[in-house]
Amino acid sequence: MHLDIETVGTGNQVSMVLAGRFDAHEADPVLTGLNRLLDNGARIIGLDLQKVEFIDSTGLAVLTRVMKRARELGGDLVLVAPSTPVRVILELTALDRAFVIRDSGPGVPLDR
Amino acid sequence: MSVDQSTTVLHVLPAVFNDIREELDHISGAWLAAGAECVLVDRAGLHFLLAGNPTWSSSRVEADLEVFDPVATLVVEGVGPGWAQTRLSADARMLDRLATTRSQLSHTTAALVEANDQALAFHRLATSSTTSLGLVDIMHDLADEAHRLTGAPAIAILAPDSPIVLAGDHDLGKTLLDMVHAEAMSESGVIRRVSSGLTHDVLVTPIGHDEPGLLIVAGPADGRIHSPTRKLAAAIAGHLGGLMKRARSHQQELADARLRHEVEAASFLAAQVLPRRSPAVPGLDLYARNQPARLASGDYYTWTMTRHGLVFAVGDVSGKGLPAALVMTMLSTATTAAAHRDNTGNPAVILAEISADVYDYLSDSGVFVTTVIGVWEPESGVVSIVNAGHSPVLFNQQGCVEPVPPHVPPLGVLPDVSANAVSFELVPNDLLLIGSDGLVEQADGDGLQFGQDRLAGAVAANQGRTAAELVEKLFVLVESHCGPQPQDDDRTLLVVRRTGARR
Repeated sequence: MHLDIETVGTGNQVSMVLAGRFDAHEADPVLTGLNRLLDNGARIIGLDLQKVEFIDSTGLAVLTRVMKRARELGGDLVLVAPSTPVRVILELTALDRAFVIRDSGPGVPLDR
Repeated sequence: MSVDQSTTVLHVLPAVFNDIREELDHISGAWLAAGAECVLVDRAGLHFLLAGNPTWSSSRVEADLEVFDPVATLVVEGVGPGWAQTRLSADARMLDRLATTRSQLSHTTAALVEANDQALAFHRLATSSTTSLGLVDIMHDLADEAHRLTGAPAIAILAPDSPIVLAGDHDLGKTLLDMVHAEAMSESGVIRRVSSGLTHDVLVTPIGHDEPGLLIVAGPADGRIHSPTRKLAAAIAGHLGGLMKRARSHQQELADARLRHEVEAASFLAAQVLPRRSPAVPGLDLYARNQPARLASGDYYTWTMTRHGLVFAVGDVSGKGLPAALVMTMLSTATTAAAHRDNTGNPAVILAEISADVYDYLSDSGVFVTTVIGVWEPESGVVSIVNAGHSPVLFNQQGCVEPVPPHVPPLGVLPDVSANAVSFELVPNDLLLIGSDGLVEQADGDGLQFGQDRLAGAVAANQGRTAAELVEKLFVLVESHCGPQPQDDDRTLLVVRRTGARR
């Protein structure tokens, strides 16, 4: 049980693809990776959650932190194609109302 | 030998003759009895009287005691040569042999005493582990014992993060240490150095058991360090390494225990914000239970009577353990305070009040909090609730169990939590159940979660039970679903049930 993290694209619009379990054990590397993208100038970050099998409250807290920081910088963290377990959690917590969620896959240019 | 009358005669025999003193007295007595005038010992020109009175007569016999250096000569006066010479020579040979034997015996005794000292030193070395625990204390003990055991003039022990520990001749130790310091750190073996014009062997031995450090043995001036000393040094260094390792792990254990104790104390203090017993509210049957996954819980529940009725809340801080518990205490307090400030009786207004208080704090902490706020008005029998991202929340209305979905995202996600509360009129046996996700997301051995549906089914199946019975029953069901698996997350359950009584 482990999470693969892959970053696609450069510049202002980039995507990160997560695959596996996104829980407290994996929170730090994801937070660090996303913050680094923002530090390097990315403003619209697409986070592909298609292959995430599980997300816990610590994982959701990471998404919330990065989303708030990106918005402060004039950008956003966009959740891309969340898997069914992730979508259920987002609905149960009403976080689907706080995030911008797109069905487009990774690599597709994101527009807000 | 020529003796003249001016020679001084001494009456006190030097200590060197102590071993045969008694026999000298006996023999002298026997010579007087056999007609001799006196018996003396001549050694390095000094005369020591053993018996009789010196007459300095020319009639005398002499025999050397060769075991002494310088040689001592037995002199018997007043007897002629011949038989007397033969007898005195025999006496001298006997005394020589006796002195030799006794000298050997006292050497052996001294060696035995020395060996016994060493055995004691070894014993102290072996038991030093139980008597001292400080690293530097151990280094001092071992340096002293190494000094005693090897007989080397100076011992030094070097270890990182510790002062240099010396035993024996500190000045010599320091001087030699300064000379070998640089290379001693990198290699072991014997290095030859000159101090105050004298050459010393300096033996460098690494401390054993993967402990960084060196045992330095300074050899005697112009002497060598031999194989036994090297072996002894290696044994002592190995022992020292073992003791130091133990001391380090003991120190680590102490530090861990201190930390554990602080976490336990902090967890206990955090848990104190949870209400201890259910309030007596006419018309309501209330019960709640919290069971942390670790020492401290990030879940909380609270209830308080205000001028509008009963305000109750359940919350869940993202994450778990002590960090979540610290945020939990803040939220619990903020909820109670907002409930008492409120003059609307509307849980959505209370929620907005709490959010205004804690939003920045939660943002800085990087966490969010799911919560349900409820207000029960005794006059109307209506309960209103607002749900900020919390689940499970179930309403059992006349046996029909329905979830109450969230109205807004959790606290700490968005600055604005404007929402419309929902209201239910409770008739007797209707109940509102607010759990935490630790109950429904608890997985069994196959990773299957307890789940919302199972929870709703269990609530429907236990219709008519008291709040306490229902809460305890649901905890048992989750516990048996969990089996031997570890508890995944904090579990909290609060039930507000309408009773038949009317105020």
